[in-house]
Amino acid sequence: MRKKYYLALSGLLCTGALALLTSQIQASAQIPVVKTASDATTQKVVAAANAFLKTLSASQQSKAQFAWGDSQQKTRWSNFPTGIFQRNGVKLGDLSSAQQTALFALLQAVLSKRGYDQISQVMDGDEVLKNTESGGNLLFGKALYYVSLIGAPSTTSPWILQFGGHHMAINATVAGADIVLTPSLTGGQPTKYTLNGKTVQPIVAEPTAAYKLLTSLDATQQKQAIIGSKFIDLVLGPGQDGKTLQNEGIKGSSLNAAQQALLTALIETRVGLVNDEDASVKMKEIKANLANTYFAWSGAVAADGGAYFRVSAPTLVLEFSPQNMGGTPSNHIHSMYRDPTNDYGVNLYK
Amino acid sequence: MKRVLLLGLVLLGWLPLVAAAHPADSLVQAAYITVTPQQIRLELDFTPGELVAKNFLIQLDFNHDDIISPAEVNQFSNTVLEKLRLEMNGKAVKLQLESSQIPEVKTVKLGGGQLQLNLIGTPGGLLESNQFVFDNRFQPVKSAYLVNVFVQSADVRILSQQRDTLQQEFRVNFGLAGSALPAKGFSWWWLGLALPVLLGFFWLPRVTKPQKVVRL
Repeated sequence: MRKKYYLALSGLLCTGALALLTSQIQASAQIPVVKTASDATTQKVVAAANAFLKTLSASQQSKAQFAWGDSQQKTRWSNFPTGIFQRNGVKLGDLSSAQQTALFALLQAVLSKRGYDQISQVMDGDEVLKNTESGGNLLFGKALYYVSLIGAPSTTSPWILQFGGHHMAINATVAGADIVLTPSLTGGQPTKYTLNGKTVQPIVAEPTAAYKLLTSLDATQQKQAIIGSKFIDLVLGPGQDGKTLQNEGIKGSSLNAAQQALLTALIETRVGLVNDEDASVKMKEIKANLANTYFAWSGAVAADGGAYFRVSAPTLVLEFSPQNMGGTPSNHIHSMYRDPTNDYGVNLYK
Repeated sequence: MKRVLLLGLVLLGWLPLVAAAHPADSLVQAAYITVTPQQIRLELDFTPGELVAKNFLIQLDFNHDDIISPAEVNQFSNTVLEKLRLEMNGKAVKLQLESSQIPEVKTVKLGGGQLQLNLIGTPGGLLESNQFVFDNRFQPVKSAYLVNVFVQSADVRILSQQRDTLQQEFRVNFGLAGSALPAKGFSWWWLGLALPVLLGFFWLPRVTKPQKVVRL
């Protein structure tokens, strides 16, 4: 009798231990561990994220925070304005001045000065659009940009800061020492406007750099680089995650040193949206792969920003796509920035 | 006169909305082709702008109940398939609807809805180097076409891509490598060559073999 009792007890204990072990394995599988130890930049970003969360009310916090495993939220971003596409998170328009200041400090920690200026100018541009062209179901304006955090801000496990609205989807994955912006959508409409008496052009650097590269090519090289006579839409826009595009255009190895420098400068206009330290890491990788990097152009050869161009490399896809909607195409731009090997920072944790 | 003025004001109010619309006056038909050694996968994304959304929906929401049903998508897909051509090494490849993603009618009307058809074709008999031609002539309303090829297998090497100006026709040359290379099958040509040699080797010596002389 006693033997049976001990047997049953040990069986129960084993089952319990097994269940505990399984749940621990499952828990560790749900929260991955980053591959690199955090650095000063990440620590600053984590501190800024926690400071921002601290300013939010309980209900705002629950709106802004998503579980790391929420894969739907990771891919819930778009170029569309509110009215067509509904984002989750906390709306800029619902934040107090102090909360907005904390959010902007977080964005400033993640992005470079140029990156932060660009997204601020794109939001100002949307405010211009709201005052000049709003109507119907399409809603524009600075108040309609949303922030959300996927996973808890941490130096040891990955998390994502999402900030997006019309013509903007910044997906910044923070993982240990690394912060990557892939995939991110930038762009804007209008691309040139006047604010407080000053002319603002948020995205002029990219088309200028691309045109400079194109016109540095000789006739034979241009023939390789130009893949079409009309501008086209984004190929790897929203919803096209996990796809690797076949390279097209002229290969980096076919460019001379001066042309390669122009290609590097073009790539830097997009990669440099993230803070200087992480941009420098990415640019080092880009330079190592420059011979296997392709530049393609589709549209008229003109400096007006009305042509599509793409840079594709083993760890980079950069697209610039004018839109045929109202006014000149160069006044309405959609741009994509992806890393086919590391979108959402998948390579940065295990 | 008042009515004309009112109409003018309404139109003026409408124009800026049109200018800012996403997208406006065309149906974007984006084709994403993935080549594997076994299959051709074609993702066709239809995104109508709000100015053409109503006419596009007539082709899709057949019973006008503001719900796009799977049956309606099947019917729409058949209409599309009639206007598509996929050829592999000169032979027509039949495409079949495998799955779809159906948008809400209200989103389509706003110009933000996208219908996705996932089609699949099995060409069979791929060679070391191949060419496929994709042609999209489906145009229910003014359309803007986009066609691109994705890479999924290291054993498929895209050698060249050619599009017409409107991106309706797409020619892709690609090669197979590694384990995707077609297996060398039994060749009757080799048998034809080998048979006389074998016969010669085994049979002729017997025929010509000198008879053993039996000396009595």
